[in-house]
Amino acid sequence: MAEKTLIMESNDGKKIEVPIDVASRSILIKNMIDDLPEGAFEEAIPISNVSENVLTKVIEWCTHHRSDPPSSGDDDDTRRKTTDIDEWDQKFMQVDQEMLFEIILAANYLDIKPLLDIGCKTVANMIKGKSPEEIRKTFNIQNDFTPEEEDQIRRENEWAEDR
Amino acid sequence: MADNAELESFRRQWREEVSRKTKPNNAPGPSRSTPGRPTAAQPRHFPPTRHEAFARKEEDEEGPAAYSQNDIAQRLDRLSLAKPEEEDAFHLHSRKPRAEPTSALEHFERAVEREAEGNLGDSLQHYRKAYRLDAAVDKEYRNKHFAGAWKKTPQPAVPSEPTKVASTEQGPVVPTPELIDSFASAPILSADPIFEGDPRPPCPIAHVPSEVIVEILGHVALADPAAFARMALVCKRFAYHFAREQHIWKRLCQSAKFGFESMHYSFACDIHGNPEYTLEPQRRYTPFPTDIPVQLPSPLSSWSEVFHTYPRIRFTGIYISTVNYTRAGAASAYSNISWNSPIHIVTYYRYIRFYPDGTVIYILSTVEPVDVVPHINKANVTAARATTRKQNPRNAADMGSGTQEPVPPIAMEALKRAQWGRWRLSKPVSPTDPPEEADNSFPNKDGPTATPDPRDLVVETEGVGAKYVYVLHLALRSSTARPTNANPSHPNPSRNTKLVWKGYWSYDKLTDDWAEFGLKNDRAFVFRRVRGWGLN
Amino acid sequence: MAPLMPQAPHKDDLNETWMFLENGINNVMVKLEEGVDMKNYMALYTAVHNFCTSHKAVSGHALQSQRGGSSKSPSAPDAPHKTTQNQLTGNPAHLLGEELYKKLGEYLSRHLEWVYNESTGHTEEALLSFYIREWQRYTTAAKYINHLFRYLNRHWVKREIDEGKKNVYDVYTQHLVKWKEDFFLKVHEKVMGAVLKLVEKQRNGETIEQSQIKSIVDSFVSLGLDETDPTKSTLEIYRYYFQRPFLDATRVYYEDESRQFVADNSVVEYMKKAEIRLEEEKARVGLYLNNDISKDLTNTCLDVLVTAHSELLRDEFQPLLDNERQDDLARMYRLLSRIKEGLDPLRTKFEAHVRKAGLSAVEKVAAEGDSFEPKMYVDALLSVHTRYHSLVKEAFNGESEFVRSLDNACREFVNRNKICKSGSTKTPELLAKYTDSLLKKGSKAAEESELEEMLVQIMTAFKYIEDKDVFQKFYSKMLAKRLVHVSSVSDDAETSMISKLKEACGFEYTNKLQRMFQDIQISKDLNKNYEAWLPTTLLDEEERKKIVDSHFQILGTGFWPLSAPSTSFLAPPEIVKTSEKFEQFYYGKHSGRKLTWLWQLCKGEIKANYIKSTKVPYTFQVSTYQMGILLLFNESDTLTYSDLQKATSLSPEILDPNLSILLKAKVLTISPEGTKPKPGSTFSLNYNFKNKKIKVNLNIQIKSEQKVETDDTHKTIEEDRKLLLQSAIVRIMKSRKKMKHVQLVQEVIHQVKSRFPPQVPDIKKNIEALMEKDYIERLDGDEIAYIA
Repeated sequence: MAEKTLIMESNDGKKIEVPIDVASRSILIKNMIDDLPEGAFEEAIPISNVSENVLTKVIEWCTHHRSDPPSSGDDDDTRRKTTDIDEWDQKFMQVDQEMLFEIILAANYLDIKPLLDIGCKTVANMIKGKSPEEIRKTFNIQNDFTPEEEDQIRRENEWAEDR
Repeated sequence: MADNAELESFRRQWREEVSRKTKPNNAPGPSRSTPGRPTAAQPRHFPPTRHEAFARKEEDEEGPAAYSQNDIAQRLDRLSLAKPEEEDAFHLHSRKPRAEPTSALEHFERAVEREAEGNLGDSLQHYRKAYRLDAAVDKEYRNKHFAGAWKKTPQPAVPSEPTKVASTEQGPVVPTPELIDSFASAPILSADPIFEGDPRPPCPIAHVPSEVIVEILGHVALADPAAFARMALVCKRFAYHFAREQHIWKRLCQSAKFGFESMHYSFACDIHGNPEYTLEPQRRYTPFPTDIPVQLPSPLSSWSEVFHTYPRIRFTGIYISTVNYTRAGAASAYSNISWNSPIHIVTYYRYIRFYPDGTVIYILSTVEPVDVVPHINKANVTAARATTRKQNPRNAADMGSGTQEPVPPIAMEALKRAQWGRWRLSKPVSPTDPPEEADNSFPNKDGPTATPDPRDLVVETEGVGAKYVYVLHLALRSSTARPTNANPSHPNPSRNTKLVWKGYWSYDKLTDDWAEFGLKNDRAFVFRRVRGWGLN
Repeated sequence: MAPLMPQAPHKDDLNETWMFLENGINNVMVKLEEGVDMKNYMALYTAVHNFCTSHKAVSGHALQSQRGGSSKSPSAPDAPHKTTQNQLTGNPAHLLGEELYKKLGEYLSRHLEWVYNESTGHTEEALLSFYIREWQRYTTAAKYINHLFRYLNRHWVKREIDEGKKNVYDVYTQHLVKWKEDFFLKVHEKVMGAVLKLVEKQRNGETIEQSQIKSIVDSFVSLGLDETDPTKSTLEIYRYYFQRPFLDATRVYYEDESRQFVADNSVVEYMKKAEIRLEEEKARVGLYLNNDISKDLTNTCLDVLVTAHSELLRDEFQPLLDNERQDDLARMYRLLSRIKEGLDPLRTKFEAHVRKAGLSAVEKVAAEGDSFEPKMYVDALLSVHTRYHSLVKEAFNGESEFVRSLDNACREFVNRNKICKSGSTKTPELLAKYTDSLLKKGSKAAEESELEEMLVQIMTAFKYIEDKDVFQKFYSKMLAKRLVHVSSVSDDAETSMISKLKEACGFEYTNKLQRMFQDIQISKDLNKNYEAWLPTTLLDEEERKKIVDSHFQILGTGFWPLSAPSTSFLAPPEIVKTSEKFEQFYYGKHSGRKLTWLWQLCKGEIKANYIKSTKVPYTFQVSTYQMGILLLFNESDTLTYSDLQKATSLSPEILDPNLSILLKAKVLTISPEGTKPKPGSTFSLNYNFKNKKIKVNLNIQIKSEQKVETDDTHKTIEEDRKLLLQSAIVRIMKSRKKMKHVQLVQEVIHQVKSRFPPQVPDIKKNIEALMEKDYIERLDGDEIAYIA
């Protein structure tokens, strides 16, 4: 029996056929499948916010994780407990920064909470142990404080430095 | 409602503490005779003793001229502030050779530094050299480091010291909350190109919507609150979120790693660290449980404030109490010139490392912090003690990956005498609770039945021989700046980083006898962060 | 066909975005049956996402509420939002979504306004149909819209809730809240009115569309939202808007109905009606109500149907008891058992009734005069118990409180009634006598199973007896006789009875009875040994002839309720040789023991060879005393009273009645004729004796003897009780060493009451007695101490 699939269309017009259980990692898609009658998916689903290379990447992740238990809703507890990223996901996230954030945005749009979490954790790991200047360098962020502002904020938040 | 009453008393005690600090205390020395002082607010289990070490607290915090170990440590904090990469006082390889000081000021600075480390011998030497070179060196030192406190003129002549005294010289400053509000719609801007004229480097994070930024910050905060704090200094947007995303702070307060989920209000294990099982697992008390709606404790107005000020033990470093005392040697028959009469300077240290599982490692040693602190962990203690004692209550395999670094012999010596123990904070008692079963934590004489102070901390360690338990009664305090030295560059330091003594006993389990240790020379414990501790 | 969607909106423009969304939502809300197109679905979701993540859609108003922290947003003027093009690029720090949330709320209000206007055109069942149809359409749409606005839920809503904002819900819940506020609160009275009319119709016996009510219930339940935690629901709305009016209506309905019904029908009919109604209401819960109402509904019905009429019902109890209407009693029990303290008055009445029945049954027996058989009395007691025991079981479900009432009543009439007005010891005496009559040979209950059954019944009566020690005394006396005279109907029956008593009162109570049994067994073996031993000691034939055939029973003095003969007696020489021989045998075996001959219990047989009228001579079964008298006539046909007295040494109290028996049986004749035996009388052997039987039993119990024995027994009971009390006191003091007087009395009562109900003055008397004997002493205060 052939696997049930549907077609996703990236915003640059590429169509990708995806098994339903893979696509269902996206809560958006899953809800839509539940809501709409079966015949509604003969046409390609326009994924208007995601480009082909990112979508491909997201589908790769969904395929690897297709049989994971469904994430337990919007609760933060799961995230709080598992701070580690598993090895496959770590490798998966070894992409340039632009792609990393693209994946995060796509996961956010398609409502794939575990992928969003991994993305955010990856970014968080890039931040850990760095000085503010190093963080700025890492993400090409401009220091938009005046020196006075910077000092005021520094003093205000000094207690949180945990020393 | 019981909680409110408890918090009310907490708040009252805070106010008392604050007013006490602002009141000038003219009585020199330990003001042990002042009646009606709130130190009487000892928990009911304690014998009605007032400890010298505890009474000395006033002196530590208020004595304007004393270079107590405490405020020197603070100054050191400030010195290292501008170099966050050196945030850890005890980096494993922090003993780098340094250029020897030459000028009087340099010697003086070195002396202060040494003193802070507890190395009184070295410190004394540097002080002497400094004064020999310049009798007014202390004045110079003050001008350099504490100018803002009493002088309106900054000392621009010290460019090497990037403290932010200068900023206070500028006109009226926007109050911080309003400043932060002004960041609300600040975008994340991409950095300037390295070479003018080049296109700006890509800054993908600038396109990330707020909800995702917040998500990322949440992960950062839960991994290390200090990293979260540094994020606030990256750009305005992050500063805004740092101040305003109170739910991140709330989660942090509720988390096990840094928050109050790991605070123990009753002992979680025996003094050897073995978990205690009870037949009916009672719900462990935690001030901010996750499964029911929690309220902000009433004196506080935000979760960041809760994280900041609510009594909390830290697992990311070591608490050190440095003890110095001098003992006059035999006087020389030839002269009574002071520097020729031998004075023995004795320096030793008490170290406490707390663990979230309710255990404690306690070390009393003359080995200096730099030499031993990086090696204080369960695996090393287990290993060190195994070499001396065949019977070991712990299984080394439990300790995980074991030692990563070879432990130098000097540290090994200290670790051999480490004691296992356990800790708990004072549990706020609400009137509706059933009376606690007889607690043998303390000799239960009819002590004052004051409301327990939530800042009180009890540590029990192994004693000499199996039949003794040592009981340390400590209290969390803040290494706050002294009111007499209201340094504007330092208005908001970490709280709960100091442990003052309230009492120290040896308890004989066989005879049910309590013997009190004198702590004539003991000083409060001060928290120092240690790199890598508590982060995974 | 899917409606044509406008072009996807510009993500930064709130109004454009909202117009696009409203069009889509409206299709879902109003035309869902036409189906939703997948592309529209994606477009709507994406529009929400894009708006929330847009970089520019900053409204001054939203910013303000973020900054100030004071939330005046719900009432804030809905200023037209102009997209602020001059904002810097880059997304603002606060989350977007409030505008969408508000716009959605406004749309829902408009929609519900329309629904409400439509609803005013309907009443009664049509209104219910309308409500249900719109509710289903609305909630189905809400599920879709909730999915379409999921991005809003995930971020903005979640954040608002996290920050503790009131009145912000996820989009689905927002739909419910809106429904509640903008529609439900306007129509709930009309809807409930229609529901209640339907229910009343059904109660009146009409068939209704039950599923309608079920749907209404479900809707009301769904509207219950927990303010503190929107993920949970509460039943508050349902309870307040459905349950309350429903219960009120139920109360009114049944108040009217029951008032009417009671006026027109008997109480018995009313109980049937009430029971049916209660069942119906219980079933109603399962059919279309929420289980939550179950308890309240039942309580309401019970309140109106039972509690309100409980006086009426209870007044009917006595007549039903009098007429033994078991089914109706059971019905009354079932109804009243379900209300608080409903049964208490019944139990009191029941107890009084049973006691009355018992007393009147006893009175019937007492009317027979003194001559009634113990059996009549015991049967009277038992029949009353049996009757009401079965009533308790059948009608009152064997409920323990009723059993207790029954027990109380039985204990009362068993121990205190007309027959035992002289004292409560009469009943145990009669019961023991009745037991004896069953266990003695010649009882009518031939079948063993029947006998066992009767013994069980005796134990039932025994259970209620307070003076159990009296029963024990009489029973052991009579058991002794049965054993000595070998007149038990069966050993099995005897042991069965003893084990029953043991079970009821313990080992101590039956200890002596069991020892008596053992003695009889031991005696059997002893006789065998004796028979074997005897020939070895006889010197010659002459001596052998002087020995009569004999059987001996050795009875332990301590265990048997027997006493030495009350008269002196010279045994006839014919048996003296035999008795001496046995003594020789017994002392040889057990030196140091002493044998006392209980002549009053011995018996024998003698042959009347002097009577020639029959071929086979008559055999007289006689007591040893009679034997002593008769054997004297071997020497002389006529003897005077003093001859007899001298030769037998019997006291006149024994001699006279035995002579009377012999005279009555015409074995002897008296001269002067027709007088009673007295000194001076002369007695002759009657050679013309005639009897139908060859064996003539002359060993008859003497009436006066019987009476004396009974009185003696009562006397020994008093004595025994004293000992029992004293031993209890000593036992208690020995273990406690020191005790308050009052406590001691209490403890004694506790220990002794299983035997008899002790009187406090008796206990005090015995405490004094023990003090005199220096077992215990009085200390200061009210304390008593044991003296070791």
